[in-house]
This record gives sequence, C-alpha cells and structure tokens, in this order.
Amino acid sequence: MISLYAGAQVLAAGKTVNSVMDIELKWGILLSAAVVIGYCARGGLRASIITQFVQAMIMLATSAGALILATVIAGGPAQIMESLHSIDPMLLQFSGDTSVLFLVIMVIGFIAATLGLDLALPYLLVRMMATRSPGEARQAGWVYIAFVQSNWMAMTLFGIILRTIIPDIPDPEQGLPLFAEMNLSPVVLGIVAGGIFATIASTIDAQLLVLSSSITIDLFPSLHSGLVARYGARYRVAVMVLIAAFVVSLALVVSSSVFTLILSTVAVLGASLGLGMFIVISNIRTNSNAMITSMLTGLAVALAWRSFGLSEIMLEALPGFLCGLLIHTILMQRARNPGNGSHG
Amino acid sequence: MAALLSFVIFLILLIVVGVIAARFSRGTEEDYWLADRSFGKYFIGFSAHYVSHDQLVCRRPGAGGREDRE
Repeated sequence: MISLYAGAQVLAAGKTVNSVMDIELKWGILLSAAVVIGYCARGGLRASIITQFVQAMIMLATSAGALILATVIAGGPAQIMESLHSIDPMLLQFSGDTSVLFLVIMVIGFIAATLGLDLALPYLLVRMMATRSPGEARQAGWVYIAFVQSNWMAMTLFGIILRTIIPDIPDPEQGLPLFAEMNLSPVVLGIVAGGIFATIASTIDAQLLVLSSSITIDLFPSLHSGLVARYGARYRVAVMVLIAAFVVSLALVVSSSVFTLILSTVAVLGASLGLGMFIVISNIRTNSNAMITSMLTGLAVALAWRSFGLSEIMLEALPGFLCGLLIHTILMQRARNPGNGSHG
Repeated sequence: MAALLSFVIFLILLIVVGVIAARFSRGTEEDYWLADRSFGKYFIGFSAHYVSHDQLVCRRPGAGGREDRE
C-alpha cells in the first residue's frame, strides 16, 4: 500500500516537473525520482529530516506570503467580506446551507480520517522515534499540531479570499500556482513551483526510507546484516535505488488519475494500517489472525463505502476502522473461548 | 525562462542540503534509519507535518500537469 502511495506521489511530482519544465511526463517522473535519491539516499533519515525542515520553512513563508498578498490585492478584510457576500451570502455563514446533523457527521468523518491517517503513516512514527527522548517526542507532537493548524488556516483563508480575486478558477487545486502566475515575478513563480515539488518529494523520500527498512531489516534481517557489514553505505543506497525504480515503474503504468488514487490510498491506509497501529499502541490483546483479518475488513469496508458513494456523507476511514475493530473484537472473544470453534 | 531557472536552482539546492546533511552521518545503522535519535522537537515537528499532511494542505497531487490538460 505504501508503495502504491509512493507511486502516486512520484507521478504527482513528475507532473509538476512536466508542467514547469515542459518535458515529457516520463522524464519528469524519472527526474523527480533522481532528485529524491540525490538528496536522501546517502544520508538516510537525517538528510530527509533536514531537507524537510528547510522545505517546511519555505512552505510556511509561501503560505503566509500568499495569504498576506491575497488580502492586500482583495482590498482588505472589509472589502473581502463585502465581495464574498455579493458572490454568495452563504459563504459568510458558519455552516453554509449544510444541516447541523450533516455537519456533525462530516466533522466526525474528518476527525477519524485525520487520526487514521496519522496512525497509518509509518514514516510519521519513525520521525517521533528520532527524537532525543519520549518527552521531546511529545513536544514535537505539539509543534506538529501547531504547524498543521497554522497552515490549514492560512491556506483555507487564502482559498476563500481567492474566490473574490479569481472567481472562476477552472480547477480550484490550481489556485495557488495561478495566483502566483498572475501576481508574482517569474523567479518567485519558479520557487513556488519548487515548493510544491518539494512538498511531494518529502513524502516520497519518507516512503522510500520506510519501504527500504521494511524490506531489508524486517523481511530479510540476516541477509541485511551481512550485506551491511560487507558493503556499508553503498548497499543502503543500492536498496533505495532499486525500490525507487519499482515505485517509478508503478508511476509509469498507473492510468487512473492521481487524485483518485491518492485519496483512495489514504482511506485504505487509515482503515487498515491505521487500525493495526491503533490496536498495537492501545495494547489491545491480539494475534496475527485477528490482526490481519481486521485490517483486511477495514480495507474492504472502506473501499466498498467509497465505491457506493457514501464518502460524500462521511469519509470512509471511520466505517472501515469501526468494522475492522468489531471483527477484531469478535475474533479475540472467540480466541478466548476455544469452545466456540476458534483456534486463536 | 526565469521561472524555469529558479525551479532548477531550487531542485539543486534540495540535493545540496541533502548531501551536506549526509556528511554529518556517522554511517551506522541507527544513524541511517533513525538519525541517531538526535533531533529536537522543532526539526521533528516540522518534518512530521511536512510528510503527513502535504496532500491535504496546499495542493492536490498532479493537478494541472500538462498531460492533465490535454
């Protein structure tokens, strides 16, 4: 699942390069993978974290700068409120024309999806393990939440203000690049595009590291130890290059739209891997059969929920998660009572 | 042309930062996979956000690539 997610991200990075440099998509994909390998294969997690910190600073400056500039161009807060009211008075209502019940369901769905996503991303947990102490990991969690919220708010406000500046954007996801193209110098435009690329690349490098460690250390520990002793850093770089080649091949053959692919993968991660991680960190008694069955149940329910169009009402992570947890509870109950037929 | 140039410089800068970071590596397994458990809250907090919520915050992946528009 992580490799599928990585494949979608490589395709996304390739499209960004393809768009900026006007080269064929396949060359954009290959160049993206080469850049990621170039900055993180040798230094591992250390290189990944340091480059991401630099990228995060650029991202913070981009989102804050875009928000301030958009506010000025739109004529200030009072003018923005007036313009929004003239576009649609509902834009100034807290819940728009959404009913309270629907709003509550939607919020619960988002909370579950976010929690599931955070639990499901192994590279997020790996970062917490890279702190000096558990106390520092907890503090890092607060920094993480503060950064998430500030970026969410800045970008959401930017999107709302942008409606008054460019009312008819064909693709709302293109709001930031379009705004930059209209209002910033070409040099800054290139940096904004670089920032978008770096955002995608950061996820790719984290995924490549997790895939590398899972395949080498977890699946073939003896072989891994031997090869590390013999070849050292060259072996680790070779593993990452091989995995990147696999991920690139996925990106080249995937035909569905990246957007659909990423979102469905995120749901799958939240309802399956997220569930498994929840069981582990909550110290819930488990065994391999119950764990695998519950994760597959979460995955199947999430995909079914989405395919029936129910994710318009509530994101699929919560139903998948709850059904998987229910199956896990039933299986563990049966494991405690062998008379019911389970072998546990 | 200027946008392309600044984009390429940005990519080169990424690689340079990564290469410099790798020079601080001790070359051990613990260093490669867990950065020797040596980072503080700001580096980890910002990095964690960057890898986890990227697709939810500022863009949707792949939107607007030239082949999307064709």
